[in-house]
Amino acid sequence: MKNKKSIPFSWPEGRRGAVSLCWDDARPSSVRIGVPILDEFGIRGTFYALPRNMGRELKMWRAAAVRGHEIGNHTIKHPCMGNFIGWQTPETMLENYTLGRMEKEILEANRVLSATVGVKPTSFAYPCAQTYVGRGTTLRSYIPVVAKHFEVGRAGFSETYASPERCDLAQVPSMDFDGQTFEQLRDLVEKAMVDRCWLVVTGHEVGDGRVKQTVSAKALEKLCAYLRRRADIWTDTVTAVGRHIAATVKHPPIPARLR
Amino acid sequence: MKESRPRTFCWPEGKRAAVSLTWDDARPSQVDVGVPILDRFGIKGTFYVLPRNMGARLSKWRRAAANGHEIGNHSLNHPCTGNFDWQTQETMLERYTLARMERELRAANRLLRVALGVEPTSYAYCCGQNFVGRGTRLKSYVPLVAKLFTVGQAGFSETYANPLICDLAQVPSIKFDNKAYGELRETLDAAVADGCWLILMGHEVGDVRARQTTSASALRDLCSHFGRRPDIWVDTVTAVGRHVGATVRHPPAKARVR
Repeated sequence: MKNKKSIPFSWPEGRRGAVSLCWDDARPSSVRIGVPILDEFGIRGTFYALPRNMGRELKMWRAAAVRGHEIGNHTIKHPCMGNFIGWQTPETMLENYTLGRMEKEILEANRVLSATVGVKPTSFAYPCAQTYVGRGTTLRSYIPVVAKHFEVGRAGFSETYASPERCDLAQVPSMDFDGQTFEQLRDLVEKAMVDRCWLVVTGHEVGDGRVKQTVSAKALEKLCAYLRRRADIWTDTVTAVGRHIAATVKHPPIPARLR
Repeated sequence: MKESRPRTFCWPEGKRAAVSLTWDDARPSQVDVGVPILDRFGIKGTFYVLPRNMGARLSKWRRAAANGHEIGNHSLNHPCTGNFDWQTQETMLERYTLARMERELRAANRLLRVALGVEPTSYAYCCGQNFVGRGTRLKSYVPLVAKLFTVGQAGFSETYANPLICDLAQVPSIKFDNKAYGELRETLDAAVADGCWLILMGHEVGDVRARQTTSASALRDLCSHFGRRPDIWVDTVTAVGRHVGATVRHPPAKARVR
């Protein structure tokens, strides 16, 4: 059942696999605590920034972007399913969205980020990892919209990492970064490298790993030190890794019997 | 920011909330261990049966279906993203089409009807994934499930279903496996306080420490708790979904948010 290894693919410079570290929402602790740790080890992270959250740390975000950290698009309003009580409103819930409005707002977020941080996003992270607009028989996926405007779309809450030969760059799986210990993260990296895959992990805050939605600062430091020691692992931004895959992998058409 | 809180919705007979207990794949431990626990407490579960797995316990599955447990559709080939190394070029969703998906969902319904004597009215998305194809040509298959079934159950959700808001074609469900009773109670109590519909989704039933396994003792404690809580409606996914479908109408989105 190892079909995914039958198509020849190789990582650059003989690396065994790739790792990308991501944070969503532009939470203040991700730039105040997370970015300095990444910088100390010369590792570039990917930050899916909600423009409304950047205000007080805008200078720090700009400086992070200049140093090569990736600033990705995470929409303007963070729309998710309406089942989240006390959070999503009729204005923001995906069940009330259309593809036209989603495209408008995603492009608006690109404009805002270009104007404030100085870089145009080339990757996108789905809020709440949800990828649809509407409901029932008239529901539509907005993954094609993301595929049209970005090099990479990043999914979430995934059960596995990305196979470079098979993954759809418009919805690359990512796994939990929040609340994980260094040992758990290292074991996951090791497993992904054995499979020669691309591990993307997604977090929110950086600080005390016991707090909800928080990457442990201690685990992050140890992970960065570990990734630095491992010359056989390519640690880079989501767009950098995605670009290599896009340039290397071609997907065969679906044969008639499977249509 | 409380617009999405239920206001006018009522659960039947003055119940405060609804719960559905569900398991995927027709793993043998579900009928060996899970169903006897449910039966002891008179609770009906929902089982999304993979036809190729039911053979090992066919007579037990028939009995469970005859006894009122819901048998739902879980596809023919369990297609998921090709990022899983157990998926093949034949089964990965990136290489599916909507037409093939529809053929296979109908075929699974036929197989289950012939083998177990009931026509499925609910569907559980395999691996919680709901697409076919890739990139600019990717399509959601939620509309297909909306067409064929009363309820479609999504998975790995961060929250439970708000009856006033939820899309019956992709009702969220929360992980049942590898959780102690206390953890399940926390989620249940929150769902009841919010007047919502909690769907729990598991795989095996047995030792909580085993992979993808709902704790048998947590299941027992949960069922016994339901016995003491007449204000909670515990029923199959289709039974609860039918009530929600009959009660809630979704107005078209207002022009300003289009």
